[in-house]
Amino acid sequence: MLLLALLVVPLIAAAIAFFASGKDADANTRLGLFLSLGIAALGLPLVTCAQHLAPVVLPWFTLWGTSATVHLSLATDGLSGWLVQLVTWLTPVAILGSRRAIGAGMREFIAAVFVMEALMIGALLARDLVVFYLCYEAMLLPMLVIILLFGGDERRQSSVWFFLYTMAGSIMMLVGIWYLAGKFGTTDLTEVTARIAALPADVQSYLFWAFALAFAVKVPVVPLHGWQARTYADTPGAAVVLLAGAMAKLGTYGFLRFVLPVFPVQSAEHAGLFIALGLVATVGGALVAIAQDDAKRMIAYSSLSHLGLVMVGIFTFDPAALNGAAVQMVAHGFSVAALFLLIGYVEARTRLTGVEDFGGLANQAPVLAVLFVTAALASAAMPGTLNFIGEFQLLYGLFATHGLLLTIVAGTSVVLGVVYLLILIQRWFFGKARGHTEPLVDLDPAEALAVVPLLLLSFFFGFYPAPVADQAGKVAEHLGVKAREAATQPVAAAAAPVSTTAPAGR
Amino acid sequence: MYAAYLWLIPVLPLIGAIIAGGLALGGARTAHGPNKVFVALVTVFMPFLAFATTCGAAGHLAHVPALEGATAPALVQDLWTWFHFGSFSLTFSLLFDGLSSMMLLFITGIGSLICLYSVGYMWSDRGFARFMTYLNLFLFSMVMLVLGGSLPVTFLGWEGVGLCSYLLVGFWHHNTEYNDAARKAFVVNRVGDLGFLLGAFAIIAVVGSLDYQTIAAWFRSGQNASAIAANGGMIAAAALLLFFGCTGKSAQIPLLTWLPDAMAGPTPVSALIHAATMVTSGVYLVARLGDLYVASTVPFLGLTALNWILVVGCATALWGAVAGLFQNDIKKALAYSTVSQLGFMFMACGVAAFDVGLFHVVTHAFFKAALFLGAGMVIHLLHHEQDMRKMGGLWRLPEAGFVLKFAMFWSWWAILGLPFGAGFFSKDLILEKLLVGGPLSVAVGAVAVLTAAITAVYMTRMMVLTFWSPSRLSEEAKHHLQPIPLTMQIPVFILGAGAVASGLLLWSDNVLMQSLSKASNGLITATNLLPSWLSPVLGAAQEHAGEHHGLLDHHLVAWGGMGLAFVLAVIGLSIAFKVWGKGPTGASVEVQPSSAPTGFGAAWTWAFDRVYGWTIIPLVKIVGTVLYYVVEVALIGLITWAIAQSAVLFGGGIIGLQRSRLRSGLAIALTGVAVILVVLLLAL
Repeated sequence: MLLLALLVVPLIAAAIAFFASGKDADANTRLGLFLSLGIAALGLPLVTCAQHLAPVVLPWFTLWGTSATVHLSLATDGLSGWLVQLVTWLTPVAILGSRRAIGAGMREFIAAVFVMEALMIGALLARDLVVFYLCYEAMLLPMLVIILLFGGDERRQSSVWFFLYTMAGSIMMLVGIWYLAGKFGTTDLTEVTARIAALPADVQSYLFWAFALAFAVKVPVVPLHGWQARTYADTPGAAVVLLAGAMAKLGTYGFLRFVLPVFPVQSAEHAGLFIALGLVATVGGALVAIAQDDAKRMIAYSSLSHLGLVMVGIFTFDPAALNGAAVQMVAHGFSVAALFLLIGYVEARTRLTGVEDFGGLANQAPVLAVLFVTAALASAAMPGTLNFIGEFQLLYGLFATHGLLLTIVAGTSVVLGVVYLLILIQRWFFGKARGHTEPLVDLDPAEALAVVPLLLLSFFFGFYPAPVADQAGKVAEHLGVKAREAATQPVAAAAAPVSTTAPAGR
Repeated sequence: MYAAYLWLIPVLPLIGAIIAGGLALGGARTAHGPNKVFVALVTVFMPFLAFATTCGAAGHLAHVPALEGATAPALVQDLWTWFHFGSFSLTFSLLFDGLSSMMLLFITGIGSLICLYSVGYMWSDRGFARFMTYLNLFLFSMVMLVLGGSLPVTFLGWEGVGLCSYLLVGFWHHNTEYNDAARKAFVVNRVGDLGFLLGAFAIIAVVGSLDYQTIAAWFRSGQNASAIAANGGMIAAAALLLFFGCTGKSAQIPLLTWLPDAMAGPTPVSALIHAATMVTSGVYLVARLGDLYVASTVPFLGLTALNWILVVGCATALWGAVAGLFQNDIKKALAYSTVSQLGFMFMACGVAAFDVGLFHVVTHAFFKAALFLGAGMVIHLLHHEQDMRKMGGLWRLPEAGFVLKFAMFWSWWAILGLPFGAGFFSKDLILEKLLVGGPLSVAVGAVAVLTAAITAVYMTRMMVLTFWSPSRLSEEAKHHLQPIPLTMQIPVFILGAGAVASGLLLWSDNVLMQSLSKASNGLITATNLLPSWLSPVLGAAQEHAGEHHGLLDHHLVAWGGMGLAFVLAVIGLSIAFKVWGKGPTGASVEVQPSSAPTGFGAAWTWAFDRVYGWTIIPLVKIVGTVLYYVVEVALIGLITWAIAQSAVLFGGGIIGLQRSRLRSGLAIALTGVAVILVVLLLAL
């Protein structure tokens, strides 16, 4: 029942925050913080004693036009559990870090954040395609509310882009799910997985694309990333924490949870395409980030680059890379959230985020400088951060399956990844004051408190990644098994006699 | 028992960094900054304590028998399983054997001395506490680098020292030029680090482990001979990629351009990071993986991995020595000298004489740290003057003091390889090893002998221009000489003494010393301390590679090489006295205020910078910008437009929403979603 509670309690919290709170923004922040920390505590058993959490399966409604009964089917495992942690812990961080940026609108902001939290948790726990779809689609609305109420100058256009892209992607998925429901009379994930092979190959292929496109928009996969930089740039920093830190992970999660296990043959068939697109995102994203003149857009493209590498890893189907993909999703959640929070603090003070807008901030705001450099280190996957573990495994998986040359191509992002961060750090924190020359107020304790735990977690798990790698990573490895078999079978059959001479390692 | 305390060695300086860092951050906005005396005590005491712990462990190591299955006597501390995937598992382990103990002794020893020196040098700087924090953090990383029992743990330190180098080079971060230098150092190092990572992957593919002892045992085991032969290509790839990583950290061709620029950092940083410790970690890594390198026999572009090291080291040594001739900035001259000396160390590794390379690492650490710290004293004395054209005559200046002259003179003596100085033993040994090898090795050896002669020229030039030429100090400078505090004098004296004695004490077993020993009936003895300390770790690899017949007779080379090196050093220093004895040549300070070299010197010095400036850097910028405008703005715009049009076709999307009604409208939508969900939940 805990799983159901995790879905319902944030909704109740949203109602409390919206209807029961007063005009005092500080009091609202405290209330929101209290509630969100409670929810986060409630979610902890998902990674501490997941084996004792019974799945929830409740008949819900019959899908119109089909005979399929939709069940409110919730279950958890290491991967869902860890991504839920990302959601539940980033929520208080976003609330704590947004006080200055949101100001009087805290009530609406907190309510929207709680609704979004509930829907993200729902999507991560759902084991029924329709339930997943409802949550996956509906989580856009609270995000749109936040962008439209609190966003930057071009918020309307950005929200339209965001909405259209994600809608265009997931409409296909809806059609696909409807088709499956009509065909099988069920939308249960396990049932569908078991019976999908009975469908004709071309139908399976269409369905694969319907799902893959929906998730590809969310990741985003090049060339469907048009919404990303604009949306990130026009969303207040504290809300991008949730958008980039948690919501974007739903895309890669979708590939791991639905695409690879349900469509192993098609995944294997199109692996080359997705690896190629992932590499383009990995290297191109980093290159474009160097050319950016706005900090938020720069980090948006850095996200594109990092998640591109995760996509590459997923579609190598290599156990190391799949494990690394799950680890990197969590790690990137921490690091990108910290970076966007810190940029959001600067934005809340000055309404500016341009690379050339500041100089010499290290003298004016040393706490901000230290935290920013540390977050940048995590983002650049310095050893000792969780990002390093993720990147190491992702690159190794690519090396083991696709050889040295492609790994060198992907590896250039390791170098380029520090170039743009160092440019940003140098412009903002070092040198002489430029652009905005009024002294910047350093972080207050609450603002610092929102960032520090993210960085501490990143370093703690960097030295001891076992909790993440052994739970989330192992599940990801398992989810890729069928696709790996599909990818290796024809090759193995042809190359059986020589396979004994393969190198020792793996 | 000692093995259980190995973790203290890195953690002690880390504690120093954390305490000093907290104080630095807390006191950053206050008028006086944190309590300097306390910061100084903590940040000097912690490294000394680490040094003491290392000494204790090293003393213990001498009595430890080799563990069963291990390749050499070692203290090993397995801390926890760091990460694992598939059949690969990595323990976060610390390995304290002959090699790492030797490295640690001089890293923590010289590191402590330089921390002490920094207290005097940086005392009046606003960022004193921050500086000491970075130094301690650097020592932590450097200790992790050599104490790590596997490649990833070493990589933790490897990237850590790169980070600290970045922070310290750009320490005076109000200066844009310094920041650019720091950024360049980080990015160039990161290019090398990619090579390190890929090399590690290749090792996993071959050995299935990244643990140093496992790797060494795997390559030494006779059972794996066929596997080594079958995986020749992969082994060569691992060796070359890792060496590429070393060229970044140790400033070899092609990744050497960052080191001279890194002289922007405060002088103690140049002495500690960019001369004594960090830049030698490439030599350490090659020696540590010596078994891999001697097993790598598949050629790449006609040369094996060791041959590549030999050639690259030789080219770098020559290039650095020639560039050193043209520098007017005293620290730049020393930086190019470091590049050149690192080349010598790699040449030794290139003929699989890893212990000889490491010997030069140690002696170089003493004399180059002393030279840098001495240069720092000069700079301190003259109020941040680094241009040698404005120096001269310091030898007769009473304010210069005994310690400065003592340390500079004997370090100069040592780097020239004049008899019984530290370089006399270590550099001559390198030349000897080169000249007894095969044809390539002898050819490289000939270039190395020439390079040694050029070394004598540029080092003597530096000494002459600073100390022994007529004084060119301005009247103002003469009246405002800054006294040198004791905290700076003590470390420099010790390092200067090391420049004299480290060779004699550690490895003085050459033909001259043997003859002297015979002549004096054993009153003078030749020592073999270092090679016997290292041989359990490196011996197998060196023996494996040693089975070849040289072109030249060993006895002839030993005497002839020594004599030739001595004669060339004397000729070189005579040339330098002759040319620069009366003062600097070339563009004067009035004509060219910047201390940068001119003419041919400039072309030579910045050759690599220009190549990258014309090729890779614009490429990255252009591709990034083109991608942004062509792909991002145009193509993605087109896709978005297409999606938008189709949305309009299907009913307008939400574009029509009126701004005025936005707030209420969306609040309603939001409540709507919540209500629908609640209703659906209740309908269960």
